[in-house]
Amino acid sequence: MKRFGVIGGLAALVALLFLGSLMAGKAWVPLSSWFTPSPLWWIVAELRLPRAILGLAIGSGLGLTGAVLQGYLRNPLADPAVVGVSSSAALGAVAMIVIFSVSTPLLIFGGAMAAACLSMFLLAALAWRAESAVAFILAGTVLASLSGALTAFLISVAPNPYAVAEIIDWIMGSLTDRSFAEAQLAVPFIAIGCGLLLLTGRALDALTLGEAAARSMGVRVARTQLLIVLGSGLVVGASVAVTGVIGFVGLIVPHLLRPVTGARPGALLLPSMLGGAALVLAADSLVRIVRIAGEIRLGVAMALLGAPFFFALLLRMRSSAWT
Amino acid sequence: MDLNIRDLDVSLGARKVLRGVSATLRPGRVTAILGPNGSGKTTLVKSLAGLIDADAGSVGYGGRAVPRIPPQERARTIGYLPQDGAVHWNIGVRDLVSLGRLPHRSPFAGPSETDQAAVTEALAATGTLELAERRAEELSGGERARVLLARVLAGRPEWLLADEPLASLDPVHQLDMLAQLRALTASGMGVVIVLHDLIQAARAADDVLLINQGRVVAFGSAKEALAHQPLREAFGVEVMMMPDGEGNPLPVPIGRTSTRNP
Repeated sequence: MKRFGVIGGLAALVALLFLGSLMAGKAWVPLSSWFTPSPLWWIVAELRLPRAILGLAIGSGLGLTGAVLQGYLRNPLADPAVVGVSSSAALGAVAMIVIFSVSTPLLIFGGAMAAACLSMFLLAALAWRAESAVAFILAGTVLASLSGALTAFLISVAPNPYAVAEIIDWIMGSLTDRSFAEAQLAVPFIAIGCGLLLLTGRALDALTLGEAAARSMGVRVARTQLLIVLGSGLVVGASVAVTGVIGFVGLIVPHLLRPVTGARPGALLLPSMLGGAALVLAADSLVRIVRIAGEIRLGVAMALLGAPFFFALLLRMRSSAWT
Repeated sequence: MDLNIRDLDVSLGARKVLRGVSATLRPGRVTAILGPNGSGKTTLVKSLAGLIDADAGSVGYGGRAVPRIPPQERARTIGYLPQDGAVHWNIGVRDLVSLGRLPHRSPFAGPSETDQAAVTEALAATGTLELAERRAEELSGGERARVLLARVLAGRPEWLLADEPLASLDPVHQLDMLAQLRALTASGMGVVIVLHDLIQAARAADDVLLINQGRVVAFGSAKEALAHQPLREAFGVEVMMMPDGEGNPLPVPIGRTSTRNP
């Protein structure tokens, strides 16, 4: 019953923050102006609604991916960046900007998803052969480093300063000026990815006792790994493709929720989805309200929030028996 | 039903670990697997659990090769208690023991009344009912070992394979654990345990499978297998037979066999 209370509470919070996200910004749009011919309603319907939908989808996806990866790798420090898909997707998008010198959403999305898929299949092929969390994490780290290096290379050979500015602007991660077109592109992929990831709950519970014990309990570890690779690839690839890199959501959210839901990985999935959505919606509303020399980028805001959290976590882990 | 090991060859990477192992393990008995470090005991137990594919030969159950039995069905029949006793998250004891019911639950279904009853029964059988509301982190080594055993028992398997269940337990808890494992055979469960201690094996096991360098040195009743010659061959040790309280001989190692280490 407590579990349903937590999920219900989080769902209500997400609904409130979604509404808040439609109202908050440079111009505050109260509910009384909604569904009226006023230009304020146009701001809500055309500018803030797609942004809020994307925030909801991306936050849910990243929160869930973080919870799944932490459960699967049995490591509280894992997050979507670990699988290397986000940096691969970023590389794909940057390649498009450099090669075609344009930044049309469809082209960037295509490049990012293609790169995300490629990295996903590399990981899946390896995961299928190795069936081990360590091989998975190593491959993800290698992919992340390689993509990072290639992205830096592309920036260094960018044809003109505008392309460089475009890349940097995009890499920082933001939901600013996102339209329904981008939401339509990304949301289906994120939804399918979340569906795949939600199938892993029981396997993650069993993996609490290690891989051998999980397999002896009937868990198909290779299948679980494939679901995780595909699911996180779709979620992270589509998220990065429309907003750039937004880090730390997948890391922070499961940690915030564990004291409430308990540590069982399967019990953490739905709450982490809702928690991720709440965090991104709240942060995106906040960066619109608190303006320091223009709007702070969402990716930057998340890092500012995430980095101290990460350190606090490490300090706490030193004194814990669970390291 | 019996677990039939036939001419089993198993490799880990390039290294051949088991060579031509054959034995028929019978339910309702405690079979101890003994051998020196690195002799292939853990690999043999994992093969029995269907977790490792054989190069040649087979482990059979009811006329089928164990690794070919669908994973969930296999998990309902053969329970496996790994050596490391890892619990990676600080989950509650009842949640932990409930994991043993996973092979019985249909996809997306919550735990049924039968599941909950099996969990409570397993907690009671291992004397851990009073720990049910604690978390894994709050358990002592002995408590954790009992809770992990309860996890396997909650699945009500026909076979229990325990890899070094006495490691990291003090003598009192070792005796308790052995008594517990022996008691399980009364209901017809087959119990296979990997042990290091010759005396514990002599006290607890009905049958003993003695291996060295991946080959069977002796397989038979504890009395036959734990005799001077097989122990010399398997461990390279001389033993003295000391009677226990009931007059049964217990093999106490007294030194290396001189031919092995002149």
